[in-house]
Amino acid sequence: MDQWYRIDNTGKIFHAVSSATNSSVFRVSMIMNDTVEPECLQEALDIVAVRFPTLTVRVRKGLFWDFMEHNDEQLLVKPETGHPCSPIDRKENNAYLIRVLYFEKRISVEIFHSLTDGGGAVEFLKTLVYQYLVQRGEAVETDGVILDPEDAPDPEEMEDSFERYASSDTALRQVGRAEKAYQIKGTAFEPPGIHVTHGVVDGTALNAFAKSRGTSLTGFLTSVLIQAIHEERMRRDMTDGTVSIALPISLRRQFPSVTLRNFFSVANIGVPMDGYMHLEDIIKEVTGQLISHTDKNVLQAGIDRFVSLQGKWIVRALPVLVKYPIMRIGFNQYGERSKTMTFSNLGNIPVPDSLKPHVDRMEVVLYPTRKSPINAAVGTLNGRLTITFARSIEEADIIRAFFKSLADITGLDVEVYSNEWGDMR
Amino acid sequence: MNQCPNCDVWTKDGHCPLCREDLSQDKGAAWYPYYDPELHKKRTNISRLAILLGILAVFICLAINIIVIPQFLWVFYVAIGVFYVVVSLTHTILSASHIGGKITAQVVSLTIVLLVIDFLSGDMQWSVNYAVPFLIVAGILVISIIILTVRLKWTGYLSFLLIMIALGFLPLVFFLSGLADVLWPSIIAAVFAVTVFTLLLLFANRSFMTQLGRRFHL
Repeated sequence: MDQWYRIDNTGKIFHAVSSATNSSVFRVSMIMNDTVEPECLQEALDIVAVRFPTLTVRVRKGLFWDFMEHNDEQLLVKPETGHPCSPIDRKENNAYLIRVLYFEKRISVEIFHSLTDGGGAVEFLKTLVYQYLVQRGEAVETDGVILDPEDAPDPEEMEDSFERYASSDTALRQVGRAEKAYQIKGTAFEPPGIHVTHGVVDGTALNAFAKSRGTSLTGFLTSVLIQAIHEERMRRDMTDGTVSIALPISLRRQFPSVTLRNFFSVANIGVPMDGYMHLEDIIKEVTGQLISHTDKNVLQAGIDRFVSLQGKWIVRALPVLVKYPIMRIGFNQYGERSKTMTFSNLGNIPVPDSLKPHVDRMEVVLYPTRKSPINAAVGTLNGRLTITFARSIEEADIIRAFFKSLADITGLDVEVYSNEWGDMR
Repeated sequence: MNQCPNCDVWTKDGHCPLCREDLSQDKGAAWYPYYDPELHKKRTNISRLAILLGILAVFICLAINIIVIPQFLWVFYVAIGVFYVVVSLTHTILSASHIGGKITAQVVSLTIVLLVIDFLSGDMQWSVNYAVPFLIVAGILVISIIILTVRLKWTGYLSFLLIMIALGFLPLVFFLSGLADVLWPSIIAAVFAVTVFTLLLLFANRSFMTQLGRRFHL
């Protein structure tokens, strides 16, 4: 098979900006109810890899854009030994930009963001776990909510949906530089690494609590997070400013698509914090902004702007050697400086009833970057919601304040565990 | 499970993952592998060290040069030597770059070294006339031989071969701009580059054109 793919519109950015301090590698995991059997997992992966051709690729250098080519090497499952979201060493990984890891009861898929977003990664993980259970002889069904490994890949799964939904080539550019948001600073780990802290909560009860406060689950968690950042850092440093949380928004709901490639937008929810803002005020502000930022017309304008910029001849005709440094500057000056933290909620992941007895919950880990050294992500499975903070700095004050607030405000039990990176000396 | 009185959260661990408060003697479940601090200690970055030492060596030599014989600036010979050693150490030997990239980097850095040495030693034009054209021919030849040997994985070398083929015309540019005054080595380099390109077109026509389309897609 000699298939090749252009890197999708969003993927190009991750490709340009990844570095030692920004791996652009995120993780989705499922915690099984039994210890993982590596042989069955490898057998499952050999079958599933064929079903997801856009994820099982290698990257090749091009003059104007790099591109992805089908990879004939075997993708091997590996025991987890390093910290989550470490950069993918292509030489150690048969040139793949995806790795499948196992540890005790956890099956993890770590993916370079150029290949896909959280939605695509979750589809891959679900199919992998389904096939793994099949290999173990369990009676499980796909029930239409898991991509069947037996099916041929649907061409629509490989499309760049940005191109499909872009409605105008002459979209207006956003005027001016984005407002600078409050940025978290701290002492980088030595040796460098990523500390992850997970908090597990009853997802159904938390959702009901958020609704009772007049907001969504994402709105509530974002508000608690903003309050924690303000209480722990801005009050201490006696600084006012805007706490801006970048929320990746999957576009698949508003713009129907089955693509397994990147198809998301980012909504920056910024709340000016001045010491007089109470949680109720923050919730009101966040909820209002969430509604306006996820309006279909706003998202459409974002798609148009994005596609129109990358479609310009001057952008296309510049060699990657020139283009990538410019994209890096743009990412740091416009993307990174306008947010305090990224918080990604992958939502409630549907799985067939036959799968539920075998799976406990899921975890999502979003890599930190130099200017955004703490990032958070949420995934819900089987009614169990897991909030994961990934940080590259020693200071854990914001994370501690967040979980304490969450437990105190909601009255729900929060179970916490971590990978202890940097804790053991 | 233990509840942390400071953080109001529950944990199966013996201490609170948030504030490190000891909660019980029980070590709890292993959620992640043990990270051996020794294994993850930051390795001395030899590449960075080599660059720093190189710069330091050049500055020391510059000082000695100015103090001892300021009329003859031999420090430039040292500087170009240091440049080549640093490129070879950091890129050719220590980096995980593609072997095609390493060959290309060697050809480019050696070309710079030869041009500078020739210029410093009286501008006899031996570099632009003979050394650089044959160095580029050697580079194209080495990558072509590797492509013939690796067969199925040849596409990985294509970008570097294309760069080398483009470099094949550099000696001709030197001649046309008056920097070189001997034509035949420049002609040999350009003809060799065109020949290799033509052979690729003839023997790997379809896949070569496909690869060209991918590498130059806009």
